[in-house]
Amino acid sequence: MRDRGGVALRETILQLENISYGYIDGGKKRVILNGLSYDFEKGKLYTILGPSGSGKTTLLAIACALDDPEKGMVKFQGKDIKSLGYTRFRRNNIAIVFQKYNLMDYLTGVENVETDMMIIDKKVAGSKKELAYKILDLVGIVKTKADRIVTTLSGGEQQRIAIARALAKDVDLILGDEPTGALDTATQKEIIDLFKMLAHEYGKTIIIVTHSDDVAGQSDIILHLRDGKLIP
Amino acid sequence: MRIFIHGLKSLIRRPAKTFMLFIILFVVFNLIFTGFIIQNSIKESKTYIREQIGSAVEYKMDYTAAMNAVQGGASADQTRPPALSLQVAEKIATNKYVKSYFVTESANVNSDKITPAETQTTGGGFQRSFSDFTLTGSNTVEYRDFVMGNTKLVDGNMLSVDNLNNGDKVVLVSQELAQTNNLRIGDSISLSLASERMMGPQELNNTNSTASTTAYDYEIIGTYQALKDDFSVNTIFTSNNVIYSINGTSSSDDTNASIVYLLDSPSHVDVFKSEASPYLTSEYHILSSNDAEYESLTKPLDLISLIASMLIWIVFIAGAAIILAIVTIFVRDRKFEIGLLLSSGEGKAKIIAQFVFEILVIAVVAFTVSVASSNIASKQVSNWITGSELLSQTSIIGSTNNATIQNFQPGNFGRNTALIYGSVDMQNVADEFDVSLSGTVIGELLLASILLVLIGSSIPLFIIMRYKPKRILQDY
Repeated sequence: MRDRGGVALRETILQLENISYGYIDGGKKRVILNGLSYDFEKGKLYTILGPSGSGKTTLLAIACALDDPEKGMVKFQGKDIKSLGYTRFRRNNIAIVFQKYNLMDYLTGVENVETDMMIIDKKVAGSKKELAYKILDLVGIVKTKADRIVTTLSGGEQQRIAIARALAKDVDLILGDEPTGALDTATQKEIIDLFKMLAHEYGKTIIIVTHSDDVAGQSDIILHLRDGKLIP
Repeated sequence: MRIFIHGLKSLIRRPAKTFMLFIILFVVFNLIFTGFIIQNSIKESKTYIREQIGSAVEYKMDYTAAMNAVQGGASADQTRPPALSLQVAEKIATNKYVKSYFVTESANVNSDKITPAETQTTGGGFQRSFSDFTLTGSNTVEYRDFVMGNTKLVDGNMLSVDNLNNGDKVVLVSQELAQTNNLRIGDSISLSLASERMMGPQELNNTNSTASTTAYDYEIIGTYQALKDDFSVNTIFTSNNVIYSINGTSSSDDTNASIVYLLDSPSHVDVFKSEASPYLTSEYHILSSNDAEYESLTKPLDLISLIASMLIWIVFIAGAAIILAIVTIFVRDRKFEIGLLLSSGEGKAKIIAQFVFEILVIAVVAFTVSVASSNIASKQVSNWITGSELLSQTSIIGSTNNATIQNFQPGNFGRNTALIYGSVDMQNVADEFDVSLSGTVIGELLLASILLVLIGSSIPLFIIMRYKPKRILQDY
C-alpha cells in the first residue's frame, strides 16, 4: 500500500492485542504472557528471542490459532481470528514451519507440497504437481529429489520441503517454530536467506521463534519475549 | 480427493501395517463367514424339511395326552376324548392362512358282488381287519387325496357339487379294483356297512347309532390311480353325505372324520396353530402338524446351528476387540500426521474419513478373499456334517417306510399320516444341504463385515475427535 506521494505505507497483517496466558505449576499460577500487544507488518522477517520457558512457542501457538489466549485477541488483517474460525484460519491464511520438518513420512517431497494445495479452499489454477515442482525448485529442491520419499532426504532438504509446503498455500503469513533448530550452520544460513527472499521479494510476513542469536541477527526485526511482553 | 489419494498411498507405502490388518480381518471374517454360511444352510435345510412335511395341519384327538392322564391316575371315563366337532372345524377353517380344508369321513364296507384288489400296502390302518373296502367321503369336490397327490383321476369324472350336496350314491374306484372286477364307468357296485366296524370315539359315544348294514348300489363315475404305495387301492371315494346317510349320523355335529387344513405356506404352520388353538373345545383335541417328526429331524441341525451361532458371536466380539486394539495402535502411530493435518487446517471429519477409507479398502479385499476361502471351508464342514451320523441317524424316523409305523402310534388312530404330511428322506436333506453362497448371503456377510469394522474402529477414530493439534505437535 502506498500514499499519494508514492511512499510505502506500513500494512499491518497480524495484531496481538493484550494477550495473556498462564498455567498452574505446582499449585501456583504461572503467567507467561502478560497483556502482550504487537503489530506485525507485511513483507518483513521477524524473529522472537527468549530463554526456554519464556512462552515463545505458546505465543506462536496462539498466533496461529492452535491455542486460545486467556485474555486478549488475535487479529488477522483487522479481523478477529475467532470470528474467521480457527480451522479455516489455519487452512487459508497462515502456514506453519516446525523444527521437525512437518512432513508426512509416506509421501514424496512433491506429494507433501501438493497436500497443502488440496487442503486450502482456494482452487489452484493448472496442475498442482507442476506448481509443486516449481515451488520446490524455488527452495532449491530439484525434481529427482522431489520425487523421493521424504525420509530418504537430508534434514536440510526436508526443511526446504517444509518451507515449500508453506509456500504452496500461497498465504501472506508464515510462522516458524525453531525452523532451523535441527540444521547445521551452513544449512541454517541457506534457510534464513530463503525466508528473507520470501519476505522481501514475495511480500510474505515471516515470524520465527528461535534461541539463536545468529538467526535473529539476519532478521529485519528482533523481538525479545520478556516478562510476558514483546520488547523490540 | 485428498482422502482417497492419501488413503491409497498410505496403504501401499506401509505394506507391513496393511498386511497385518488384512491378515487379522481375513481370519476374523473367515471364522464368521463359515459360521454364517453353515447357519444359513441349516436354515434352508429346515425350510426344506418343513416344506417336505408340508403345510397340512390336522384337527384330531390327542391320545397321547389322554394316555398320560390315565398313567397319572385319571379314570378311563375322565380321559375319554370327546368327538371332534364339525362346527369347531368350520370356525378354524375361517383362519386367513387356510387355503383349503378337508373333512374326510370314512366307513368300512364289504360287498358280496366284488372282490378287493390285491394291495401291497398296509395303509388304511385297521380297515383290513374289519372290512374289504373303505368308503371315503369328502366335504368338497377337491378331494384331499387328489389335492395332496396321493391319487389322480385317470378316467371319468370327479363328483360334482350336486353329487356332494344331494348325497348321490356315486363313487370313484381305483384302476386295480376296476380291473380285478372288470368294472367300467357307469357300472354299479353294491356295498354294505361292515358289521364289525372299527370302534372310534364317535361310535363309542354313539351307542344309539342308526347305522344299518343294508346294501346300496353305487354308480361308478370315475376311476383313479394310486400314486403312492401307502395308498390302499380298495379305497372307494364318495361324498361325506353318503357316509352320514349310511352311518345314520347326518344331523350330528360330532365326527370321527379326518379333518385336515392345508395352509398357504409351510411357514405359517406355527402361527396358524397359535391362532386356531383357542377354538378347540377339549384338552384332548389338538392341531397337529407332525411336529414330532419335524423336531426330531431338525434337532441335530439345530445343535450345529447353535454351535455356529456361538462361533459367530465369540469371533465377532473377539474380532471387534482385536480390530479396536490394532486400529488404536495405528491411529496412535499416525498421531504426528494427524497433528500436521490439523495444523494445516484439515477438518477432523476428513481425517477420520481417510482412516475409515483405508480400513474399508483392506476390509473389502479381506472380505472378497474370505468369501472365497470360507466357501471352501464351509464345504469341508458341510461334507463332515452330511457324511457324519448327524443326518443319517434321523433318516430312520423320516423314511417313507417308517411313516406307517407312526400310523399305529397313539393319535394316528388308523390313519396313514404319510398321506397327510409329506415324508422326508434324509438323504435328500443331506443332498439339499447346500453351502454355496447366494447373493442374499453375500449381502448379509457384507453387512456383518462393515458392522464389525465400524464397531472395531469407532472408538480409536473417536479419539481423533479429541486430539488438539498443539498438544500433538508439542509431544513430538
